Amino acid sequence: MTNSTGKPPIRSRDRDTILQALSAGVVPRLGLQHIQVGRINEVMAAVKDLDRIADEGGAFRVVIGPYGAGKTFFLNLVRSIALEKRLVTVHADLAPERRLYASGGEARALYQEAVRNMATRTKPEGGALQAIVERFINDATQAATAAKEAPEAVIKQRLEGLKDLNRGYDFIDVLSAFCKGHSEGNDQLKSDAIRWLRGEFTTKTDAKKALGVREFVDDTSVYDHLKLLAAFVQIAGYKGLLVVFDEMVNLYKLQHAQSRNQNYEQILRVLNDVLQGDVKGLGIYLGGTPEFLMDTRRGLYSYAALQSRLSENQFGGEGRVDFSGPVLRLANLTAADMQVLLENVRHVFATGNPEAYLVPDEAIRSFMAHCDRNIGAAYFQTPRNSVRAFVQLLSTLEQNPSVGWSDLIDKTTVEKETAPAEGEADDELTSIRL
Amino acid sequence: MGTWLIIAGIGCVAWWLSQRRKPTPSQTQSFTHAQLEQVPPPRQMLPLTDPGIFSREERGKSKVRWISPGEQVQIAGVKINGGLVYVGSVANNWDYQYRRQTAHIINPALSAAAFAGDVTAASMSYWPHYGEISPAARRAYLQWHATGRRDPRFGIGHIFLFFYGLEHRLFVEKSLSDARVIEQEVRELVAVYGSNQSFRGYARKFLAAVHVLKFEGPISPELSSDLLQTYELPADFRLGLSRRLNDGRISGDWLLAWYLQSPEKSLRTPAKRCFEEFKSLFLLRFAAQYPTGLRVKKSVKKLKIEYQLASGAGTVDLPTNSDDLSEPGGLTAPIKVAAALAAECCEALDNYSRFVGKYPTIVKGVGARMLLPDELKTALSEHAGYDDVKQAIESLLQHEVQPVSLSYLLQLAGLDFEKAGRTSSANGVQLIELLEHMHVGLEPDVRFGMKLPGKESDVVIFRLRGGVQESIKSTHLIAARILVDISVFASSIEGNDVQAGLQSALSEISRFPNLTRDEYMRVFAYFVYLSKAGNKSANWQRLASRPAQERERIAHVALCALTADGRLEAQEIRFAEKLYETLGLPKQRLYSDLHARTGDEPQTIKEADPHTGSVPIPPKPVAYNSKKLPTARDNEDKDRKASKASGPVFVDKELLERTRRDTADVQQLLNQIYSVPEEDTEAEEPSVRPDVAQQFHGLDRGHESILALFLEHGGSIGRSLFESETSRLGLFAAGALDRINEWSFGHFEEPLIEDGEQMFVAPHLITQLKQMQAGT
Repeated sequence: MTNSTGKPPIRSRDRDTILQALSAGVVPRLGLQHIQVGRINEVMAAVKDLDRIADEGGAFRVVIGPYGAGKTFFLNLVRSIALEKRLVTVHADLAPERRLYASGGEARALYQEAVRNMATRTKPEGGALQAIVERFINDATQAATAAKEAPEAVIKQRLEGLKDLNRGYDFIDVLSAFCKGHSEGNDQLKSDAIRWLRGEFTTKTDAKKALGVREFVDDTSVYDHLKLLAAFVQIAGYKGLLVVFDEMVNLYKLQHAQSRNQNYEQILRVLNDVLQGDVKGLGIYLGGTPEFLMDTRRGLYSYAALQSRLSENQFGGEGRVDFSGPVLRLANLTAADMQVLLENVRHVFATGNPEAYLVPDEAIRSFMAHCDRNIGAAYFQTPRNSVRAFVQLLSTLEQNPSVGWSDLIDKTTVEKETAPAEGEADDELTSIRL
Repeated sequence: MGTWLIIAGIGCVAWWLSQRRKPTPSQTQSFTHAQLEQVPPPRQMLPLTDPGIFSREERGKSKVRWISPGEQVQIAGVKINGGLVYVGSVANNWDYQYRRQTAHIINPALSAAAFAGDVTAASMSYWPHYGEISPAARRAYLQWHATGRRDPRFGIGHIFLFFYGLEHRLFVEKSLSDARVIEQEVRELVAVYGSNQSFRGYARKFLAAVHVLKFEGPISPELSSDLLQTYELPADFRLGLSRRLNDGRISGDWLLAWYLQSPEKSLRTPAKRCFEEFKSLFLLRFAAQYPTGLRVKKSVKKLKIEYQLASGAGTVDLPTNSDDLSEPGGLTAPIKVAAALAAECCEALDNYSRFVGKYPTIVKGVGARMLLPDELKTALSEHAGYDDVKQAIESLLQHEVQPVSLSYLLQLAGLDFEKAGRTSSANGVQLIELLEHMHVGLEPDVRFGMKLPGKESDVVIFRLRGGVQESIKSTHLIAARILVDISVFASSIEGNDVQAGLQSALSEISRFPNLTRDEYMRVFAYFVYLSKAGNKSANWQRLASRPAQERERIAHVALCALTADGRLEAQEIRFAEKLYETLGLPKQRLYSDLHARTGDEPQTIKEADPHTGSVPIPPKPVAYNSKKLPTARDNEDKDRKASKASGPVFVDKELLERTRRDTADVQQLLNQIYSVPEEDTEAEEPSVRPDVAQQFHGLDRGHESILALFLEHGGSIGRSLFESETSRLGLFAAGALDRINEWSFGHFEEPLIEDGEQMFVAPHLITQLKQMQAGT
């Protein structure tokens, strides 16, 4: 096994997380590096992006891959690397009720979902907003104490940079209100401030009444608030903010051309900001299917301004591949990818110890042949069910050492997985894609 | 009253003339060869006024004398050298029969004008008589003889007057001694005065009768366009045909000659305009249909051949020399057969005939011959100029496939007659068929519905091994051409790299299965042509009707051409969308297919060689590997069957190794990221109490005391205690926890405190923490 040597051992915590996730058919939260197969160029491109974000730069990527190509896995991997690089991440899947731009609260819902999923290295599972705010205030308070200044003054001084941003004043006021609530023991005020930051206020009146601010996170200001968050997390000691929006195909599915174009306009705005260097410490990753990008009637290419910016490098081709363009294409998985993936899973199962492998190479090939017989080429193109079955197979073998692998393989049931048809609401399922 | 009298007078004259032209049966003389010698001389001769032309012995014996060829005679002072005339006196008898029998006799006693003879014979009547014509006409007649009888200025009356004498000599006097000279004389007269239809007709009958007299029925009929003007069977032909009918069968040339001279013939323009081709085709088709000849049932009517004297002196029965000959004139069955065959041949010659009619000046070109029916093309290589054209084409074909100027080809083929603009499809077919005859193909081939470009543009010629045997209706060929159409069109879409697209398409087309060598060359030539000319439109309608597998292949090749440059522009995608829609393929699959072709590393199909201007001939086509098509859901069943048949699942070893290498690289990269401790920026932040030594480097005093609290409680405390401690320290609980865990990542590469109602430090880190606390 070429990949069985020279690898660091796998922590049991990572092992358990990976195996639990895989057996449930979802992407693991941790230890993705242990099962990542190939895609070195794509990963390097992402790492460069993250380094640029950490270096007060910006990044914008549209990750394109067909159903089962591993978009969500890749985006999770990028998020995981971002956390490791001390970036804060927010992520959400787009859905009919969650869009970039809307008038009925759908954009705010997207913001809510994203901020709810805000993660740091210490809170990778999400819900890190309060911890970040509190940590910022802790640090400011301690600095104020050391400097014998009022904490509020230090906080306002540190947040001074936010004033340059749209809605920055309100943001500062809300953070001040949180601080005030803490110092006054007013939990309600603290709670309102956090609710405001999470985008849970729905009217100006409520915001004014609760926090004394005139604005709130509404459908039109989602991107402004993401920029504010990016600036804030940098002030709070993090390197920057990575925003990941998956299932962008939901925009493609919007039947109403005007609302579709308004959403694409938002994407154009983000793209322009990033390309023109107007954002600092903010990266946007969008995940979508090829039709979302290429459909000239309803996809991103239907929006001429986006099409020209997203089209491939004209010097690409003829053996040259440009990974610096805004579009990162994920190729379909191959049988070879599948085999290496299963080898990695086996490696993880054995906690990185090749001597503890439960099955030999032959069993992996045999398992692939079994999948191939049952579901055809889909077994490697959309490998979720195959991998799940393989993990279950290994679990069974681990618990029943007396059973031979060859007996179990034939009894393993692998279900065929099909791509959701156009128009089918699949937002709930997409979040557990491998 | 006067008018009525004039009309009545004219009527009488007309009746009298008609009576003169139609000899009554009673006037007809019938005699055989044996009788010819016994015909009595004219009943009454007048004495000669100039006895000098008779010899001493002849004087008193005969009043009329035949002047032999070469014998000289002088009449009214005019010397006649050629002979072949009767000289003598004619009685003053007004009997019509007698007058007609003696019309040709030159009476030296009659006066002739001294000057200004009636050369044009205007003063002569329809039935001239030497004794009755004017002195001026006599003078002209004698002059005509004196000038050698070939002067075309003389009117036909003079010739007829002379002709009557020749008839009389052969058919009335039955003297065959001068027959050869007379026949030659008539032939030469026809050559000079044949433009006169009347004379030509009489002369032809005369010659035919001479043949009969000489027992010379034609051995094989002479097939010339002159026969088209004939509406009765000549005497010699009837004799010859009758003899052939005794054999029971007749050949094609006899049938055609029979039909051509039959009064019942009905021939369309092609037969007249292209008589030689018509004749050849008729004979070829007759031979094909009746290899042993056409069986003809004889008529019961005996053959009887008569010669009607042009002088109006009556008819003469000619000897047939056999009693068992039947009359062919009344037979209808062979004429029907010939009529059907002639109509068929006319139809086959329609195109050629129209071409000849339209461009009479260039009909001699080899190209025009291509409009002839297939039977006549076989002899094309014998056509003058064929070898020149072939040689020129050979010199053009430096490579197997060669672009050449269309106008040059048209010139070679003799088809360059349109002043400007496009060449018509019909002429295109002519050119293409001529080239095919020389084992050379041409693209664009109009037979596939293509249009020839402007004359100044290039077309592509290529060498054919199989020649004209190549089938242009091959379904594989049609499919391959569609593939070329679409791929070249796709390559030229705005935004695409044309060269890359064409190379990719060429590579795909070279894998097209089931094409013969010639078909492949044709496809390749078509590709070269379209690549040069540019394909600006696609025939979308015909795509939908192609079989499913073919539509898949079309889509695949088009996508290869579109994505060969590794880029995708909106125009290219729009084209692909339209193509998929037309092909009836699921549109959703298009994007996956496009993605599959652009997502992976592009493969260089063929390195571009800047030194060669032309595209090299690709290798011999190999069987098309359908597995190279993008995997579609439709194909899954097939793929599954294939993998079942092949046993264990196939994984490309090279790909597997590459994947493993990439995986090792990416894991190494990720391990570096996940294992390198972050630079601890917080370490520089001032502690709450800087005078106290730090237990946990990088944490301030407040957070240190929280950690110390955990260690005091064995690594685990309740959340309420944690919150009260942070509150006491003036810290937010969540912020403090985040700070400690962040610090832990820098030291232990993992979070330290697990959150929950009961909060605890990771057990395996407690020892290390205690060591840090102890300062060891």
